[in-house]
Amino acid sequence: MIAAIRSEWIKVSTITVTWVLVVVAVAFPLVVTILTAALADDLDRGDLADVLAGTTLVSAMLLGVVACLSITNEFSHGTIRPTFAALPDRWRPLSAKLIVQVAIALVLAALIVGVGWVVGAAITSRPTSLDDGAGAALVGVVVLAVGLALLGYGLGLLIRNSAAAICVLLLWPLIGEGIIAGLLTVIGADSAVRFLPYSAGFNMAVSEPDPDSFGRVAGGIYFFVWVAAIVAAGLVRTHRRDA
Amino acid sequence: MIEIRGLTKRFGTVLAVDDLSFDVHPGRVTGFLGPNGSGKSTTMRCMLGLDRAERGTVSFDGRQFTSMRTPLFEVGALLDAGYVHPARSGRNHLRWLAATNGVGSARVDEVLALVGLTEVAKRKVRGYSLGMRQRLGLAGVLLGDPGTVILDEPGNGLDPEGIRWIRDVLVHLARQGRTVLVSSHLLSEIALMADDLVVIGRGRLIEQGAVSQFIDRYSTRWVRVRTPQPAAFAEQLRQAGGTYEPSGADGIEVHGLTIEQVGEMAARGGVVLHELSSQTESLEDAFLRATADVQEYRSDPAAGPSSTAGPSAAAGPPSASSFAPPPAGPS
Repeated sequence: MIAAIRSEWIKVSTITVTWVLVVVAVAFPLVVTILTAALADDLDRGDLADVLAGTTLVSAMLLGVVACLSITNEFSHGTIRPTFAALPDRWRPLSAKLIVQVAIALVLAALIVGVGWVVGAAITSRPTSLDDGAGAALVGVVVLAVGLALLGYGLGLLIRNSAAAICVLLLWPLIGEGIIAGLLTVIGADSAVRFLPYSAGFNMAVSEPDPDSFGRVAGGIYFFVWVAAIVAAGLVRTHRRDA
Repeated sequence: MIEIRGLTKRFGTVLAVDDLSFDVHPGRVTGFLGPNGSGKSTTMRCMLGLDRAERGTVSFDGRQFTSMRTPLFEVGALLDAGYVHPARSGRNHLRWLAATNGVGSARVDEVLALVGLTEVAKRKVRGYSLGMRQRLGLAGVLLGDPGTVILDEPGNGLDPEGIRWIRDVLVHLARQGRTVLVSSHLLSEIALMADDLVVIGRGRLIEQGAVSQFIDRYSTRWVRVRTPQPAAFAEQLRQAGGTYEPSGADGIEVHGLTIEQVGEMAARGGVVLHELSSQTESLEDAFLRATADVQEYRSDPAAGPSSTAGPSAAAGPPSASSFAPPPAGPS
């Protein structure tokens, strides 16, 4: 498995688009957080953490795109075939790719949150705190980043086409669930909004989860159940079908 | 040795490979031939576990491919030189492939040198010509120094020097005792490199055996004679049971008699000969004849000059009227 992981790391690290996405994912929340810390003079105690968690959410989506491309590129360029010819037990390369993408998302999200918080807190003249859910939100956004990487990977396996898979990955949370939530509200089914997977998972990354939702932990678990189902469906499909 | 038994693969209602069985022997280059859509590539993908076969088994020296932990050391395969990410360098493409089986970077540089790509190894693959991609693909095949080599159309995109080079490489690999299976639509190339042939059509085996055996079975032989007295000698040949066809001002194409019989007749009759030679159809002719019934796409003979590429145009020698057709169907 180590050899397969090493191979997958070489694959993802030798493509320029990976580094472009990673640089943007790392730079965006850090720049916004540091500028906020340096320039805003009306920050409340938990505001810095909220800004950091909110901007890291964008990074989490970009890391989901990295994970998605890591698998759709294999299908679009045909490299999945030499991959499976070199590792006939398909679970090995598929598991290795999953491990690499989870590791990338986890390490980078943790790095962004850690550096962003330490530097932001050092720069700002306002009081900062990780109490009242702020710290939990920062941990939550790291976990959400891992979840979105898994989601990107699973959608990549299921859809196989880069543009289509990325559209679903990004438009589902940004537009799709908003529209569905609006429709549910219109028909008076507000209570069903909590069952929208991304909305449920989003509660992990905010200091004050929506009181009508499942809450931070339950919402996160609910989100990961969806992600796990999509990943499992993608893995089974890829394992059974012709490459 | 590769042993394929009863391999069957269906895509929906289309039977792509139909109960196919054949062997590929070590120490020999085996050409894998068939018309377009005959199931060659599908067979190769099934051999490597990329396509899930409906039935049948494939074994490499007695082992299933899917049971191999590090197949690059046992079976090197190139199914399509286009299976590369264009934004990755040639060297990095080989690095990830090598890493899957624990092959080191030193070997990557070795095979790059072997295929002549060292100078462009760090260039992105999108800048490679098709011929360079074929070389890169072959480098991938050689990474683990495998005992079995499987190549699907390796000559595609190569210039004449490249084609000769890959032919020499494959023959060299076979002479080292490796099992080499290579498909190609360049029949002249297969004729030059292959020791054995496996010919399939519509997913079924048509013929397996030595190249010479295949040509003997599916091609026509005749005797070419050039003489200053063609009409008189032709009449003698006809009386001896042969058939003939005039060829040019002084030539005769003789069927039904051996070259020895024709030579002895000329000697007995005091006929001056300027040429006496045995003629045999090419592998291409034999292939087209063998697969005439299973061509999925063929040109319309009435459609004009391009129809000369079709099997019907190449199937017959000059005196087809006297030609006794070879046995049809699988051997």
